[in-house]
Amino acid sequence: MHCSANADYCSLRARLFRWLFACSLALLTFEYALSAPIFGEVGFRVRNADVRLERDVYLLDAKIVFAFSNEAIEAMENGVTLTVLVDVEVFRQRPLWDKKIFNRQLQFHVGVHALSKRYVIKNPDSGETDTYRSVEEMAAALGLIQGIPLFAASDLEVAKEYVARVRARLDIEGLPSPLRPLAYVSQAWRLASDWYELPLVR
Amino acid sequence: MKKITTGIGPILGLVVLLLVSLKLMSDATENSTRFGELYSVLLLINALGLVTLGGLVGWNLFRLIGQVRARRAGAGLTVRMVAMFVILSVTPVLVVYYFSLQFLHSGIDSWFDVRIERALDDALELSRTALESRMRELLKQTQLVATDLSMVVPDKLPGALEDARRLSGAAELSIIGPNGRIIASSNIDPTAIVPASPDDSIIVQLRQSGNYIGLDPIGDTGLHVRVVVTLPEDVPSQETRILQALFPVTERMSSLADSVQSAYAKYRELAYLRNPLKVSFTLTLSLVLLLSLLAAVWAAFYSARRMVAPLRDLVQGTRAVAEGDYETQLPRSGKNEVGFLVESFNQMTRRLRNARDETRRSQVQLEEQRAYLEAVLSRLSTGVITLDLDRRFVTVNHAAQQILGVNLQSHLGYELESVAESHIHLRPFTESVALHLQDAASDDNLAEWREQLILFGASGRQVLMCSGAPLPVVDGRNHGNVLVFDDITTLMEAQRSAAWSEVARRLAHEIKNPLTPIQLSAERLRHKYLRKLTGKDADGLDRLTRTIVQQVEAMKEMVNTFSDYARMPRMVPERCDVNELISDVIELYRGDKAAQHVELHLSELPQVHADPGRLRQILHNLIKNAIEANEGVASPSVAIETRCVRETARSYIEIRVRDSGPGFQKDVLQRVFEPYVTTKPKGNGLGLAIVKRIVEEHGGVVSAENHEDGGASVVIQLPIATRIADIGDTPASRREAV
Repeated sequence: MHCSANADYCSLRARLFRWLFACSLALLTFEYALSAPIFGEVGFRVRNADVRLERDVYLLDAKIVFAFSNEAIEAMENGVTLTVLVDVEVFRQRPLWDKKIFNRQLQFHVGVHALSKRYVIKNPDSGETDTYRSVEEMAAALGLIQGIPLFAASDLEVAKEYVARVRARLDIEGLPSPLRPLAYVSQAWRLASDWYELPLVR
Repeated sequence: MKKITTGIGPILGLVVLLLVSLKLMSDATENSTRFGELYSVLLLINALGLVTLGGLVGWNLFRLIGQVRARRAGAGLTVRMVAMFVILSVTPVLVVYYFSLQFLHSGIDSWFDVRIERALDDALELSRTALESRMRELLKQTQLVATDLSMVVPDKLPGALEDARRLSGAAELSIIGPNGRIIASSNIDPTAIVPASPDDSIIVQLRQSGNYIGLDPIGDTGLHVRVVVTLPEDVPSQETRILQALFPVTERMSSLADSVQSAYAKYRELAYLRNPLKVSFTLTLSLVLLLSLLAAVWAAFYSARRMVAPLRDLVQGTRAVAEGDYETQLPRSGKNEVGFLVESFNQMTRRLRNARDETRRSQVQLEEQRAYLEAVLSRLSTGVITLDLDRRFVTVNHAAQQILGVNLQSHLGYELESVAESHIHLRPFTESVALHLQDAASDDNLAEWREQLILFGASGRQVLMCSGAPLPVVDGRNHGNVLVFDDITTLMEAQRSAAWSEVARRLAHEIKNPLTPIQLSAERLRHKYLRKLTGKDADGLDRLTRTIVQQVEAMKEMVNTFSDYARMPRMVPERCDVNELISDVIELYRGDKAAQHVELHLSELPQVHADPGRLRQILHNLIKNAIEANEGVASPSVAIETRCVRETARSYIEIRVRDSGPGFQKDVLQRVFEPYVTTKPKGNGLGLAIVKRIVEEHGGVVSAENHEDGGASVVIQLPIATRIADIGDTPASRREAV
């Protein structure tokens, strides 16, 4: 369609594009406002992490701060089991881009046992269950990761540089379906730490 | 792209996909294990699908607005149809949506009952109470065991611990030292190596209250009662040791407690998820509503487009036909009424195209004939003019313009009279033609006419033989008239000259020849018999023979004069000053008494191209006539006036010779320039005829008029040769060319 055609048509199109641009700008601003740290101390943070070599196996030690939001604690106290994931990735450094050579995800289910009124951490891989009286104790225990075997030393090449990174996050997909749409758009549910990177040299 | 945005296939596919996705999402919301994991993906797919569908609808809307603004054919109809479709489809869907939402919310709310909630709370509390009484017993039992164990020496502690565990029925007994160090442990499961250590909060409570008792779900082994007490020490300085005992809850009680716990937890979760569940269902329902709405709107657009398309094609086709494009053929659109209309339109354009082609062929033939006719007409020496019924010029040929001396092409489309406004000398022509056309309009017998007209234009006097006839009547319509005219000036003069020459020759032959023998006979009679007779006889003979001889002489003179008139010598034109010629001629009359009253009123004149000798002859004749006319008049006067007249299309000089005599007789005035017309007793009647002939030879006109206050005038008008080239184009020269 030609603008020759028609000046009114071109003007309408220009106005439509201006309107779309304004809406996009408003959405971006709204998204920025949502992602702003308006919840104070709420959130996950990897305080420190270390990968040590012990008996030819690299083990992960990490201290992670799990500060659950009120919504998440309320959900737990109402019988909802939350899934907390700790992602560990190892990259071999290269000139252009790094190559991922290892990827592991630790999974923990946390909830409340109503009868005993205790907070429960369950490792679905090992079946191990620990209970705690308060959410703080549970979070502290959850954040203390020690000696988690990652990979054999032979998986790393000698004299190469590697980078390991760790992060912790709440698995929204592990929530009951009705909660997910809300969790995706609510900052209170978007609990995830930044990647904590540490060099790794064999 | 157009196929995707306007085709029905991709859209139907999208709608079906969205419907399936919505169904799966709905299932997932109800915690269906199959699709629960896909819930978010399905939600995303639905959202993207709806955005796509919304984008398509928006694009259609945008295009429609553009079409409305551009006033495209069918846009208004599309708007009305879309609005109607949308209203018809959206209203019931909205009603259903509203009531579904109400029903859904009340349905979800109906799952929850305060009594059930209280019953579950009570059941949980009952379980706790039942367990607490057991727990208190176990606390006492553990305290007793702790007292016993406090007295056991460290070396025998594992054995004593094993015995105590067995006796107390505990699943595990552990003695833990400061800093959480396990001093001794006994477990019912011999494979269990590491005892379940108490956490820091238990230690804190232990320090505060001296013991701890609680219900712990331990791993996969089920619910346990954890009892932690401090070992009483005899020696205060000895390190504080604690005893932890884990008692399994009885299988029956554990089963019941688990049942209550899981039912309570499930109910609490469900109650907690009540609002999110409502939101999810509302979201799903809203997505369904949006899908329905967008699908309905899109269907409205699609249907309107399908229905309007052939009509728009028809409108555009009609416009194209109106603009002369007969090649338009619209695509067929089914066998419905619109299809029939389209087929009829196509048939119409085909016929129009054939008719146009036929017309073009006819037009080409007509143009060829017209060109042929124009070629013929342009080669004709006869002037041809066609006029329409309003006497406007339709066609003129080259000869017509040449004869009339006017560029008639610039008057095409204008009325006949418009030519006379700018070219006065054509007024006799236009007036005569107009008169004839007027007569022809009133009387069919006068439709064809013929008339000889005399014009005095830039090139002098012109005699036109003009004829007119109506154009052929076509389809009962009269198309106007055709005028055909010829410049017959030369022909007329040649004919007249030839006629007069013949008359002169005959006169010489038939009259002059017998005159000589008559004269000779009369003289011989006189000579022979005059001497013989005497007296009266001799006088009589003398008188009679003298009379005969005199009359014969007179007749001879008359015949010679006529011969001179008929056989005038060849003109020798040159540039000459008329005023000078008049002065010369008047000079000759200077001594004449009768010429004493001649007055000259000479204006400044341009030179004319004329034969000075002939002009002198004219002037002689006219002055002589005027002097003779004044004979017997009390106060005679002769006035000679000259002036130059310049008009748009012609310029001429006028010589007026006026006397104060009795004037021309009325019956003679019209014929005064014809030969042998005279009022004078001695005149031969050729003077003014010669004047007229000479004037006409010079391309001029001569006229005579009587004055009311007495006297008469003879007026001569001679064209002025403005250019040297024009001089050679005088009637005389044209005549020579002929």
